[in-house]
Amino acid sequence: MKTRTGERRIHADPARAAAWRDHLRGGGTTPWIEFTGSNSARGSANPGDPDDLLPGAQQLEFLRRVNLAGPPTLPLVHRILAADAVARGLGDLTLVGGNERRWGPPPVDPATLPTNELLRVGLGLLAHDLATRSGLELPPRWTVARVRAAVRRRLPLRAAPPSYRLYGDPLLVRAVRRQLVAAGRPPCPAEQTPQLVIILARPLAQMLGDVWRDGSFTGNRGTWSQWIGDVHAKDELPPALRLSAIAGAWRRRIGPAAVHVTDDPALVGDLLGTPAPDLTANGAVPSVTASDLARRLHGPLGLLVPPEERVRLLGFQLPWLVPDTRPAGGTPALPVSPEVSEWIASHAGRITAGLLRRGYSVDIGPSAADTAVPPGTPGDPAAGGRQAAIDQEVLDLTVRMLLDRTLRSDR
Amino acid sequence: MAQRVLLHVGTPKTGTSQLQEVLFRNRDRLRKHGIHYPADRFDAHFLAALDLMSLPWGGLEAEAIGAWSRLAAQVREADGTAIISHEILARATAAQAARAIASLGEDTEVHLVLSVRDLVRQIPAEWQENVKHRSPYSYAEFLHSLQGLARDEGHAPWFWAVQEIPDIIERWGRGIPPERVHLVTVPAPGAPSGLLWKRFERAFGLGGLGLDLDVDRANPSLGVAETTLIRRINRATSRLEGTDYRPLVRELLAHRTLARRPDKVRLGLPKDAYVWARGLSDAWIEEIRIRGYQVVGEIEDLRGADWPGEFADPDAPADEAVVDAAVDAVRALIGEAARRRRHIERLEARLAALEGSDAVVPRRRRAAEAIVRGLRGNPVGRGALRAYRRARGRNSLSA
Repeated sequence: MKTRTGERRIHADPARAAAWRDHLRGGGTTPWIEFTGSNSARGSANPGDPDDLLPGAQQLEFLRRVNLAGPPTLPLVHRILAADAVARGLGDLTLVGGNERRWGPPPVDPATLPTNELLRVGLGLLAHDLATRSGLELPPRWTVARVRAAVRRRLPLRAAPPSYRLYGDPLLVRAVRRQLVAAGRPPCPAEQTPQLVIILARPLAQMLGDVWRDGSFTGNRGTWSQWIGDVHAKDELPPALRLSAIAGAWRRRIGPAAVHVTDDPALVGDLLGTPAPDLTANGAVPSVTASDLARRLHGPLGLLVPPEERVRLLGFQLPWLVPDTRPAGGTPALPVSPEVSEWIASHAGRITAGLLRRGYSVDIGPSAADTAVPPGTPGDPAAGGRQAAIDQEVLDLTVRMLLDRTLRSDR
Repeated sequence: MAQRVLLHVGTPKTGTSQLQEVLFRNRDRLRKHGIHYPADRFDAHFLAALDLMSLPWGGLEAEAIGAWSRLAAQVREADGTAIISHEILARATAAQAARAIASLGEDTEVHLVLSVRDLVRQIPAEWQENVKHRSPYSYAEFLHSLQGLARDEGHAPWFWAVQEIPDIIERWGRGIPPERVHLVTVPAPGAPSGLLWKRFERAFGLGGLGLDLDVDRANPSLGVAETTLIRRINRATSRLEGTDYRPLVRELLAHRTLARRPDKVRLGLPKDAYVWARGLSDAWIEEIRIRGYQVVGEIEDLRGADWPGEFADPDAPADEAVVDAAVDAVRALIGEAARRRRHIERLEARLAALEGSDAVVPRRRRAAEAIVRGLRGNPVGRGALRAYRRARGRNSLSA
């Protein structure tokens, strides 16, 4: 209870607070409000003693959540208790009925803390793990693939396969290219002109979601609803999705017969003489939750490494480390408002018509209507309930990743 | 190792910029007197504070990586007294403060210094500062958020973290005896100019050192109408990039034009908020007295001036006053546009003069282009060109 003058009447029981910290340190999961233990030895300590400093309610509750999903290693427990809640937000909070103080922000029941406050602790730790993994190797062996391709090019027994470049849906392009690279067929280097250009299309609503998800690893900071809201307000599609314009530019450069636009990735295999890409395997692309986690990591990681290293870690390493992945063939369209859905359908119609004029029979609409969510419903991207659900999913994923030995710096 | 560290951790809007500028400008002279202000740039301690507190700050955090460790190492290596000063350090948590103090060396005598000003002036000043950083909140909303008991709305978490004096000292002062905690009070309105500096001199031991005090880091306040105008400009320029907003709106309009207008009406507190703020100040003063901290200046300065009898509301300003301020703003922008126009004309004239001359560089470039064309014409030449470009590096572009 705070008085009018800001000084608080306190009901402190620091011994109980210290005991709860020890309970959590030992793997306990009892919520603070239900906890009845006490540690009279610690509770009698001088509250001004630096050694008696309790972590904030954010760190303690985050450890409880990790214990629930755990068990964590002892080094991870120590890291959590010593962690900062990174970025702006509330200071380290005290426990209601525990280590209350007469000044400062009011004490809290940690179980009621907003998920974002717990994420400030978890994301800081995860960013640290990622920053210390900067030497991690990339799974696809680009060097090996390039050597294989070079050997094949020089074998006199058969004609060199056509060089190619892929455009279109970024997640689909990434997944297909990875399989081609693994098969020894890397794309045409940037300084050379490809013999074939293949543009991979999907329904526009789905491609927009994929652009946001891909960008979350490389530069987006905004939520899906903020990002799609901006795109809608500018009335301008991302450059990667201006399929008709991309096709037109390459047709002028390498000829119409060398430019293909398709919504069937199997065509890539036919055109390049390789097996059809398998887009049903799990692990091809990060989930929506993983993408949301990635965009939130830009801030905490920016406190630890320079911008170019941050982009490298998030864009090239995190996608391989995140355990929450999906098949590339089935990425979902993300929910949009009816107004945005209408706007997407209109753009999809224009692009489809433009492609048709150039002789490509590819329809990138109208499934946008399927993603429209009525305002105020649980799926509405602007609704608070949906954001809370996303926050919780990201927190769960953060906890899973911290517990994962392949990533953790204290493994 | 430094025998003594003066750790100045706040608060904002208490003349800290002037102090830091004097320390930075006079750091060589100070060193001769055994006082070290370890900084290779004027905002070095700001970056260190961001690093210590894991705080992003519009991209500046990239320059801050490792800054606290570097600063602490410099302090440990210094011989005599070292000063660390930045007002945003007031926001540090108790754990961060403990880490910071531990990093300064085991046997170092740490003194905590806090410069403080009454809430009656701090609250309006903080809102005006937020407006200059494009905050959309009205004054009424700002005051409401500060008075909320949960302190979790809008600017409340930040404001109280850097302004609640007893809490700041609790977070930073763990293990520091009260006689080593020094509060420098900002003099009451109407006090002689230079009095605040005299108090800083006493707190930091800077008197009689012959320091160059000719610095212009004063940050004059906006008046009521001027703040309203900036808020309206903010709303009208919401899509303006930050890189344009800072020089044009914050610097040119707010600092260099509107803050310098004569006869500005000073922003204060409405009566109910004034009573509330005075109540807080009274409680803080009592707490400071009980704890026995060293006060440099008058503790009564912290109580604030009496209620002036009227309140000019920036949320419902006199339109005529805002229009007058707007005319001054337009005049400043026209002056800036004219200055840039003359600058462009000078550049165009220089460009025209260069284009008219038979410069050496174009001739050399033409020769290079001819060589490249020749080399591209045969396989050996192409191979030689590739080898040359590899040797020269990726920046070698086609001629």
